[in-house]
Amino acid sequence: MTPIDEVLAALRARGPAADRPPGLSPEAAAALAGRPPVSGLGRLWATGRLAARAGLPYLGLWARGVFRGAGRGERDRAKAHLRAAAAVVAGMGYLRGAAMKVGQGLAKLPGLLPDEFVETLDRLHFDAPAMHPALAREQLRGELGCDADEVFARFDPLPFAVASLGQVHRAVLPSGREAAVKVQYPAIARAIQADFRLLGVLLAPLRRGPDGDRLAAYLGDIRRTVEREADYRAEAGALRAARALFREANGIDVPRVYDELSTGRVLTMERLPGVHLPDFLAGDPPQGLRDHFGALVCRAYARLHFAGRLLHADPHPGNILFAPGGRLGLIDFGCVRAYTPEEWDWTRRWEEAARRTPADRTRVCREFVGLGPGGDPGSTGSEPLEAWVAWSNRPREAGGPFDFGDETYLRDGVAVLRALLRGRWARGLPIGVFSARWYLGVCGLLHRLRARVDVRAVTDEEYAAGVAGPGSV
Amino acid sequence: MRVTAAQKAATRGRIVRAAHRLFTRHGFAAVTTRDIARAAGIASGTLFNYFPTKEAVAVALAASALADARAGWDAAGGGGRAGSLDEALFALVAAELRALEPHRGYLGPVLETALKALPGPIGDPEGGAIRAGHVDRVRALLATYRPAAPAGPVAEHLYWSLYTGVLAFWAADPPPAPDETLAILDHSVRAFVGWLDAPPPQPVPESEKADDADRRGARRPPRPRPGG
Repeated sequence: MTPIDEVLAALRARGPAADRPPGLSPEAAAALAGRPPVSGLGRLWATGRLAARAGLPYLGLWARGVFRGAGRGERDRAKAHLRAAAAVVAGMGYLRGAAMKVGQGLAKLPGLLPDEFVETLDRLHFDAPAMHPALAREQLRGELGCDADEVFARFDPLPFAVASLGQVHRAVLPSGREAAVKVQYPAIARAIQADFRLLGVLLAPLRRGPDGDRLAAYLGDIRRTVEREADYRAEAGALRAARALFREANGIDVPRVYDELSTGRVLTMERLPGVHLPDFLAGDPPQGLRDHFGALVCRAYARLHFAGRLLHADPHPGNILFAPGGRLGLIDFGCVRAYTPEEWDWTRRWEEAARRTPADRTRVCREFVGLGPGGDPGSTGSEPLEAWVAWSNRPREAGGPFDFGDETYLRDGVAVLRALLRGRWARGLPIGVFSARWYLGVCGLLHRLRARVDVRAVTDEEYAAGVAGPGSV
Repeated sequence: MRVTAAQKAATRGRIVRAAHRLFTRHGFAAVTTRDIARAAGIASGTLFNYFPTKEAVAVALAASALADARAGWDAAGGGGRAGSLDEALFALVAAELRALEPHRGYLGPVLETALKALPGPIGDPEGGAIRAGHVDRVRALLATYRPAAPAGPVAEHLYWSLYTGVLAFWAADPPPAPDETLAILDHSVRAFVGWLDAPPPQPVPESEKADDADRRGARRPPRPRPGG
């Protein structure tokens, strides 16, 4: 679920989902029930059939047609062909999640594609085929070189959660420690690479448009993000980096990685105690406990952000555990990316500006999207950017605990972000869009929690420690 | 001198063991029946009393490995404890692939001679046994998990095509990554079960048949000839 979807879901959700396991989307629950949402082979065959029918040269022709700017009839024809191309993308084997992200990226570059193409991409969602126990065991055997029973004291062949590109099984180590074993669907990484090649061919002509360079940057960023998700070694590295940021006294736990039982396609981690958000809310927790966990959520992501210089691109309730004793568990680091020095420099400038005047904040944002003080913001004006700056800073300016349960704030945020994206403001480095989605995702979480958090106190403390350098927290 | 059945079995065993060593060491293509006979300590002509070709020796090796795998699979419940037909079929083939691993290098000739989609010539008992041993188990699984499914030659031929396709993919040179074979096997099994579970094609109503025929011009009245 994308952050905006998550936020909208948060606005709708008043209580726990009663009919599915905590933290699972309906698709995930269906997958766990042993019935993949969509037949894997059906997709595979559909891809071949559609691709064969349309033919890539043909797809190249229609895409170029969009930019010829010829007569209306040709434009209409090109649009019809784009719809056909959207059908091809819909038939892609495993890359529908990436296609979705591409769609989101393209939506941030309006005018590149007709709306129906973007909407088609936006509706797509990722699902890896569910693995039955025999397949999961064979995949484990291939990765670890022996049967699960030889390395685990106990291994549950049925998964208890779905994960990026795979599923998660409960296990017990010979030492008696409880573990979570994430097993990736076989050969999915190579299938994703193949799908990306197809997508690259499909979208190559679009890069000749006015925002072609930015489109290429977005596509590259999305590809790297998805490829990172497919490499569990990268996730293990993010887990280790994140775990090193927290101390026992912080009340925030990140699972340890068992390297000897992990590979690029199998990730064995400590299994943290706790329940997901719906189950936590089902217990009708008192406001004080909500506020406590809200502050921990805020601190956890701020710590990752400032001290770890890590961006969790997909904060959602499935990645958080509410444990007894008021401890917060952070799980699933597949979507975490490290800031580049350039990105971190922008982040630091933004944070400095956030502590000064609205004009300072607007100036930094304008520079980020490539507009100097006198730059032309285009037909949309600079209001959306200023609205975003003001909205995102509202919790800091509350002068004390900010009530994220206030529905108005989140609704305003969705509207502001959409206005921002409809304009030409989501330019600059792709990290800008990721950061905006990350922030909205965190706000969605805090809203569902209906927590009141002193954002200024938490973020100032974390920022000061973060800029002082890693290890100072 | 009369050769006893025990002596025959011992000689046969020596031949297949020697062949396996040679195939593994030198590759199937580089080994001749003369090499095998020499390594087994028998005369070249004697080998042909047991195997007409070196491909037949390879088939015997594969048959032995598959028989062991299937016996183990039967002993473990024969797929009866699987959660679904997909899983049971997957587990059966996966067990066979594990057993065939030492013979991967010469599975190609086995596929060409004994496991091809069209059944081999009559008098190919080893290939027939390999096929029957597998198909019998698939039939049993279908009877357990899909008693109402459309069993018969079409289903079996479709299944066999997918099965041998998986074996051919797995036996390719250079060998694919292990997880690629698992993905192909999973997709193939899902394809077969999906076909089994798909609703049967509905008969076309008579009225639509007529419309269709009209569209194709079958019932179109003949065009009047000029001047006719």
